Amino acid sequence: MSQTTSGAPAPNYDDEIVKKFVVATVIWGVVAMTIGVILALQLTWWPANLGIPQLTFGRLRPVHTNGVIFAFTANFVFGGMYYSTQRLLKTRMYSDLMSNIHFWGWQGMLVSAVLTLLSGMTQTHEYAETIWPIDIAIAVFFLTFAANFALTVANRKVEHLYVALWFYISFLITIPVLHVFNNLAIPATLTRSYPIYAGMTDALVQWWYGHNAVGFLLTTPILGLMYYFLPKAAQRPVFSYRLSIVHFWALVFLYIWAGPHHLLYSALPDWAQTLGMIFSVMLIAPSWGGMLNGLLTLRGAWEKVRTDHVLKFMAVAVSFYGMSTFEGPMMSIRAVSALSHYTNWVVGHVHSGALGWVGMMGFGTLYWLVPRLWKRPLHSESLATAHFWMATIGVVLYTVAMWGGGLTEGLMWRAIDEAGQLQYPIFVDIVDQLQPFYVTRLIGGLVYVTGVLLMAYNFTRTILTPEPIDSSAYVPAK
Amino acid sequence: MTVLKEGAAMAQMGWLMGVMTVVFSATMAGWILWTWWPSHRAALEAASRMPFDEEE
Repeated sequence: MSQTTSGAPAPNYDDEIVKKFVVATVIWGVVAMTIGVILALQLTWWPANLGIPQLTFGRLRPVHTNGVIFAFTANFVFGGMYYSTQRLLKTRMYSDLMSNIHFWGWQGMLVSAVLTLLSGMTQTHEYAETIWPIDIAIAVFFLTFAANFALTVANRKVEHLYVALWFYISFLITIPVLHVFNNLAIPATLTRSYPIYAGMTDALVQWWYGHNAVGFLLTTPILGLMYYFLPKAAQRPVFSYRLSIVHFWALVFLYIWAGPHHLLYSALPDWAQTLGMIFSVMLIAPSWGGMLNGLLTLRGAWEKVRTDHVLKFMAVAVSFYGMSTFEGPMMSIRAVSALSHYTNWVVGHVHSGALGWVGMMGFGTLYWLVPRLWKRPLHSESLATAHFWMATIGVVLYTVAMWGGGLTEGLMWRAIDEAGQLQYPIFVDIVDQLQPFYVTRLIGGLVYVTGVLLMAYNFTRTILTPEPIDSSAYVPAK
Repeated sequence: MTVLKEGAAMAQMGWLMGVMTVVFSATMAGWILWTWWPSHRAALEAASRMPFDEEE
């Protein structure tokens, strides 16, 4: 048993569960993002669906979105949480059995989701398309993890809960509440159900869920990982621990109110729309506080960013977090939303967050974990650097193309001629103008996914390399 | 719709909005004050080093 820096013997952590989630993350990342590229191809050239119902846009799209959210992101979040939670609490996870039920149950749920969605079984709620039996499975396996986490916290060997754990706790409390209430439905058959909400109430609950899925699955747990892995990679404590505490409480308080900005200019009461807009704008403060805290943690360590691919990924991730969390509040303002809503600008915004923030943080975390978990150096630093540049170029191509496409179609939709008539009354004419943007997006996506494939190859070679004879002598670059 | 109408009516109660604003603002200000209180500084700085107090 090795020693902690305080001299106490280090507990026997369960890293096998972390390895499983790391492998699952890479596999699902390749699948979900490749499907994204196929969808981008279909938007430029529709015959790419090959006339096969299972490959049509309407069925593949939810597989892509749910795959990125619940498969790629959730798996790397779970893996990072299992790794960091045990070390921050100085104790092994409470139950290995619960950890394994969580892992295998979650992967089984994901496979079921893919098969049912491809078969056309859907609840038609965005990011909540899966049918009711799968919804129950999501709740059961997520709560299994939450219970295991809570029991581990109760069993901890330290008094103070590091700020990353607070972000994890917000994720573990909020996601089940959002998921359960948004999916309340009366089953009619094994594959069909009727939601208990109707009309505007249904839309409001849906976007209360939808936006907070972004907030509490794609943001808070990853901020928790940032507060753990970024200082580790930079080898210096977070710039301001006190700011991180204020960041946490302000963020979780404000985020939960922001959902109605998805329903501007709808039948939702005006006061509720304004409330969503105001809270969205206020979100800039904690979001940028967190971004600055992350970037300033690198103060004095920028030289390392030049050479350390983990820090490269994380520095770009935090930068994209800052850009996305500025753009989002701006888009939630009524006047801006009038132009941006329903256009590809929204798609660009989502992907600057998903590819830039979530993806880059995920890759950085994986590159940090793999050499340490398998106790051997990364197969190729050059491939990791190539992946970094491909990811960066890919996300820039993607988002710039979608911003251009979104502005183009938004302006064309609202253009009025001298007689007061729509200047472009034929919708397909506007779609035709978007072709160059769609092709650029396809190229950006292809470049990004190629980088992910390089990472998968690099990790495979790393893992399959015979373990160093004296693995304890190997200390990976910090 | 009844729920939304009741919610709208409640949200338009000026005194309630005022009280809530004061309570939440005071809570946030108090929380920031607690965080930056000089006597908490050492403990929080020690806490910031927790990720490094482990085996590698």
